[in-house]
Parts: sequence; C-alpha cells; structure tokens
Amino acid sequence: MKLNKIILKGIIFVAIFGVLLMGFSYVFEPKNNTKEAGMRQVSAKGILSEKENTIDVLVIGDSESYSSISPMQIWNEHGITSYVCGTPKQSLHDSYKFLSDCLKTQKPKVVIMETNALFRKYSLEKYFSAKAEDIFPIFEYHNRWKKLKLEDLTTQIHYTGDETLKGFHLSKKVKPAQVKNYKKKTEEVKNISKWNLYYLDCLLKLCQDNDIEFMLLSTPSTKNWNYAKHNRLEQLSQDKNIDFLDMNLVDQIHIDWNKDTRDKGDHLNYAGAQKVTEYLGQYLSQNKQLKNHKQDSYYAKWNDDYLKYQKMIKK
Amino acid sequence: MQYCEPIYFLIFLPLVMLFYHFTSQKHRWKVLLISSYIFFFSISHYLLIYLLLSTFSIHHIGLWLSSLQKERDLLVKEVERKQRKEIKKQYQKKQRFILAGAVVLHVGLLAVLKYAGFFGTNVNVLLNMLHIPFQMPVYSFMIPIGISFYTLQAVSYMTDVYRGAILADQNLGRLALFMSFFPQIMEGPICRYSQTAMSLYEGQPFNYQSVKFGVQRIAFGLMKKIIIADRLNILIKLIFDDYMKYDGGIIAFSAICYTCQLYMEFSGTIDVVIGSAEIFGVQMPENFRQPFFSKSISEFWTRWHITLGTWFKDYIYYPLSLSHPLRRLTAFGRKHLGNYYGPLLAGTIALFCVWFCNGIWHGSAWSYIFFGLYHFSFILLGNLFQPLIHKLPIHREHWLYKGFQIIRTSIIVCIGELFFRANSLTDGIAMFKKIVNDFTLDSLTNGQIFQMGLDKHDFLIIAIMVLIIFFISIARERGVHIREYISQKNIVVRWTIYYAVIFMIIVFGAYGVGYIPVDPIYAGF
Repeated sequence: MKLNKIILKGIIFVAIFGVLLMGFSYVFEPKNNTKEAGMRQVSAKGILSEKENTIDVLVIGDSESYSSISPMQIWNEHGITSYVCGTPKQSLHDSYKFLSDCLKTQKPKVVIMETNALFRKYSLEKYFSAKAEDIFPIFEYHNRWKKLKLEDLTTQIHYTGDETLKGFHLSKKVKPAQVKNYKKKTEEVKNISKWNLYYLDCLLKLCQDNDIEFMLLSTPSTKNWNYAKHNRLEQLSQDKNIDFLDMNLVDQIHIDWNKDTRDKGDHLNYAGAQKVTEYLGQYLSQNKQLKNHKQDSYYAKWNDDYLKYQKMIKK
Repeated sequence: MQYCEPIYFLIFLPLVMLFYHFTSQKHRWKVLLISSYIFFFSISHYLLIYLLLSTFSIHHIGLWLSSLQKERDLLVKEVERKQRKEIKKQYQKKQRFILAGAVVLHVGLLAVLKYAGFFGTNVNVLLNMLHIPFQMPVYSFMIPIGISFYTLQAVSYMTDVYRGAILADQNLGRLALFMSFFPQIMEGPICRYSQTAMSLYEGQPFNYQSVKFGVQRIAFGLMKKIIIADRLNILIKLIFDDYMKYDGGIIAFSAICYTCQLYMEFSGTIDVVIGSAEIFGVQMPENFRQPFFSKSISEFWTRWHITLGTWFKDYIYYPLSLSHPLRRLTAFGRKHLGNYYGPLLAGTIALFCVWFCNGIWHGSAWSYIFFGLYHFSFILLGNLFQPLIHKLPIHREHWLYKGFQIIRTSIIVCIGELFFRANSLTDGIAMFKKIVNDFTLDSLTNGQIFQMGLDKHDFLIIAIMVLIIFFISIARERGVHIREYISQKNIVVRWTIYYAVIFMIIVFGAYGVGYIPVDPIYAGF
C-alpha cells in the first residue's frame, strides 16, 4: 500500500475515533452534579449549581482546604459568600479546572489557594491523563457503564446539586497530634516544582484577566507544614506580588493540637476549622473589599442554608 | 514507565517509531539502542551501569572465545592428526575456564544483587538456631530492572559462542541492542542472539502489515491486562493480605482468580512486547501457547513462559544430563533399573536442578523455591507413573479423559500459584490448609464475594472477557490466526472490530478512581 493512502487511512481512522470518543463522552458524563447521577467530588462540584454570580470568594486546594474553612460560618459572621472547591490530593491542574469552570457562572472577587498542593509532585503522565479527562470525560467516568441508563443518551446536562456545607468537610473526630519541632525555624527553602510554578502562573493570569485578587493561604497542619515551605512561600509571594497568610504562625488562632485535629495533626476537625474560619472571615472583611450580603434578597438561600448548617453541626 | 501505561504505548512507542522512520536504515539501530537506554534509565536510573558492564563484558568474552577458536583451528590445520585431539582438548579446557568464569561473574552479580538479603537473613536464622553468637550483616541492593532476563540472555550468548552455535559479534552496538531492546527488557521473552540480534540491527523500514499486526497485538494485550488483570487486583490483594478472615471456598476462589490474573498480566504484557517488536519488523519468540489446554504439568511448562523453560533446558538440563558423572549414573541405571527408569535417575537429578533454579529465579523467598520444587514433584510423579498409566485400560484419546487431564493440570497449577502469590511460604501453607479443612461454598453463594471490592458487574465483565479469550485460544489451538482472519474482512467489519476493542479497553478498563493497577508481576523477578 502506498504511503499516502496509509496516511489518509490513518487520518480517517483517528478522526472517526475522535468523533466516537466525543459521543461516548457525552453519554458517560454525569448529567447532574449529584452523587446519584454519578458525579465525582460532589461537594466541590456543588459550585456548578450555585446561583449565578453569588460567590465572592473561591477556595482551591487539597484536603487541607476543605478541612479548615467553613463558608457557612463566614457567611454567618460577615455575610461574605465563599465556596471551597477543595478535593483530596488536588493537583494545580485540577485547581485551574475548578477556577475556570467556576468562572462560567460566577465572578469571584478573591481566589484563595491553600498552599499544600503547591508542594505536591506532578508529572508529565499526570498532565496527559488530566488533559485527556478534561477533553473526553469518558476517561474519568468510564466506570459509569455499570449504572448507565437509556436517559443518558438523551438527557441534557443540568446541575441541581445542593451542597449546604459549600465544600466544607465536617468532621468532629478527635485524634490528638504530637507537636514536636512543628514550628522549628530553619533557613532551608523547600522546592516547588516547575510544573506547579507553571500552573501557578496560569492561575494568576486567569485571575488577572478576570479582575480577581489571588492570595495564598497556609492552614495549620503539623504534618504538612514546615518552616522550609513557609520560606519558599514567602519568596513566592514577594516575587509574584501576592498576599500570603500563614495561619501556622498566627498565635491568635490558638489551635489546640490535643482537640482540634481529626487525624494527629494532618487535618483540622470542626473545632479547629471554626478557629481558622473565624480568623479568615475577619481577615477577608478587613483586608478585601467584600460586601455583606446578609440583607440582600438575591442571597436569601444562604440564610436558609445556614439554618440547615446549624442543624448539621449540632448533630 | 510500564508497557501497559499510556505513556508507553501512546507517547514513548510512537515517538521511537517516528525517529526510527525518519532515520536512514543504516542508523536505525542507533535509534532503537538510544531509546532502549532511555527506557531503562527512566526506570532504573544510574543502575544502567550494570547493563553496560554486562554488555561490555559479554562482547569481550565472545571475542576472546572466538579468537581462541580461530587460533585452535589454525593450529589444528598445521599439525598431524594425532596431535589434533590433544590441541582441541587443551583449547576446550581454556574456553571452558573462560566461560565458567564469565558465567560465574554474571550469575554471581545477579545472585549478590538479588539474593544477598535472603541469604544473610537465612544464615542468621540458622546461626540463631544453632546458638552461635554471630550475626552476618544483611545487605540489600538496588536491583536494575530486567537483570534476571538480560543475565540469562548474556549467559546464552556466551555459551552459544563457546559451543560454536553462533559467531562472536564484533559489533558492540548490535550486541548492546540485543541485550537492551526496550520492549523486552522488563519481562522478556528471553531471546537468543540468533533469534533477534540481526533483525534488530537491520533497521527494516516499516511494513504496513507488520505495523498493523503489531498494533493489533498490543491492543489485545492491553485488553487482557487492563480489563481483567487490573480488575482482579482489588480482590486478590484483599484476600491474600488478610486470608485469616476468609473460608477455604473464598481462598480457593482467590487462587483461581490469581492464576487468571497472572496469565492475563504476563501474557498480556508479552503481547504488548511482541507487538511492539513486530512494529519494527522483529519477530520475537512466543512465550505462551494456550497453557490451560495442557494435559500434564510437563506439557504446561512447554506452553507457559516458554522461553524460560527452553533456556533452562538448553543451558542447565542438557549440559547436566550430558555431564560425565550423570552419564555414568545413566549407564549404571540402565544396567540395574532397565531402559526406562535407568536414564530417569540421572534425568531426575538434572530436573531437580532445573526446578530449583526455576524457583529461585523467580525471587529470593522460600515460597518461590517451594513453587519450583512443587512443579518438579508433579513432573517426577508423572515420569514415575507413566509406564503404569499406559498399562491402564483407559481410552486415552477420548475427549472425557483429555478433559479430565486438562482440569487436573489446571487445579495443580492453581494450587502452585497460591503458594507463588502468598506473602510467605507459611502463609501459603496456612491458606492451603484452610482450603482443605475449612472448605465451604457459603461465601460464594450468599453474596459475600460481591462485598470484596468487585461487584456483580465486575465479575460479569471478567467472565465475558475470559470467555472471549477462551474462544480465541481454541481458535489458535486449531491453527486459526485471528489477525489474518480479520484482515481478510472488508474495511467496515475490520474497523468496527478495531473500534470495539479500543472502546472495550476505554470503557471496561480497570483504571482511574477505585482501581489499583497490578504492578508488572514478572518485572519484579
């Protein structure tokens, strides 16, 4: 067979494959952002069904973010709307995806990035698989074949999920942490990979283009935080001219590592999150120009959600 | 990077193909060699030095043996007939000495890297038992990927040069490529120099048919590995890591599942390997030939990991059987035990060595040694009772008898694999005891089995895939080549089959959240 013919056949084969992939992706993509519909990371993806232009502060990051910040508490104390799009072991690629998806319906004024994700390893392979999942959701949701229904062929995507906690992970478990050398000072500087610096630049650019203020936040964690990381983040905040708040070094928060952690200092529990959220709420209301929407009828659902939240935390 | 990961078959392999295609034929072997070293380096980093050392040394040894052979041939021509035998003997001795030294060096390095920890630990246990107040230091080393495979290739190359079966290669590059070719470095097949070295070096241009067949074989391998082997991993890990929780029925079921997983993982990877080589016009020896149609354990080992079996046969079994002491033993045996059991005596000693080596080759643990000797025992039993069985009034060609033999062999294999997979020999024995003493089908019938990481859908897809592979195996057994059969169909049918296979892998593959892909099992050996 002649080379031209082989190339032509190859192109046609790949083109049909691409069309089939798109078709399959449509069928396999969850049609709603609920667990029942097969959506992953439901609490973070709840942002997709938030009322248009209601979120002022978006939090991105890994498990540290959703364990430490409770948007409902900030709402109650300051009338500021926020949402935590944190997911376990979130890569910066995922953070970027969350922000860009959020921007389709929301206009946040501030994006807070929990910094632990910046030190996570990333690889070319992870990049390719994440890209493939972005373009063709079948790679992420292929396992839905077990629950696929005829409606998946015809139903349009419509997000109706209702996440009262707005991405916060409520846990009242207590597992005390051993606090030795947690805040020990050092001149060492922990490295951030080039991949993560690249994605940080992408996030900054996206925020700049959408007139959003970007800030870095390190939430308290005896296991994940250290002074070498703090040193690198200080450098980074100066280089990029962005705000950096390191709650590990804020004494007013008074984290009690015997009571405020659910897993020996790795993550905070509800008691710890309350303290961190209280400080963050004050910080946001004092340092960022954010409105109190409590009396605004457009945000009435937040008041309803807060009543539900109260019941949840009392359980 | 592993063969069944997208980074290999979607990025690395196509990139090598691209460079290969746009390089002149004369230099294509360099593309393959550089790619092979990049592949090796990406996994074992600076341990590449071991591979380089092995390559340089076998190149040198080959040339040394070759120069001695030439020297001997010249001398033989010049002297009278009477002296020829003496000269040949002298040179034979020299060559044998060099070969023995080289083999000891290569196998010794493998032994030190792989078995030093195992050896040290066991010696210390023994010293403790004997109340000797001395403890050996226990060393453990970083092991370069594929050392168990390329060492056997190195030994076969040097031995073949020594035997005069092949000429020593002057070309270091060709030999280096033979030793390191990236598709086979991790899991074999174990190739002989005469099988692949020349075709690797030739740098044949791409042939449409070869590329097509190669890609098809890769897809078939991925189907086995990603849909079946990776899916079964959750269940197998759960049961083998915590077998005390489960009854004998579940453990027996897990042994069947593991045998299935091992076959799908290893043969699937070998499909990817052979398919990759086929793309570059290199025909690699087959490593599997429908092993679960074997009617005896000896037949099983002529169908499973074929290249390892033939290696042991050619480089351990035959040399030992033909060695002076064992020939004398055979003669003695013939005299006293007759023509069947007489040679069996010496053969059994050689066979024992083969199976001991086979066991320990797989890893530095007692469970692997037990695995080797387990198979040795069944082969020996088969040999011992063969004359008796032949006297029984059984219609041996009847399908029922053949079916019985196949099922019996499969059960023996599954039990062997239980010991092979068990976390230790003690665990293996305890698991086997549970099968014997605590066998019940309750957990399999009351739905407990669906609470162990795999649901009904998972089992259904495994069953369908196993059936598909079973029918393909029957076709192969009957000499039908599926790829050629498909290639005779029109383009609509062909492409429909291709898309069906690709989408089966994408949709039913056990990858992403909730699955832990099985590590390449044989790469660990």
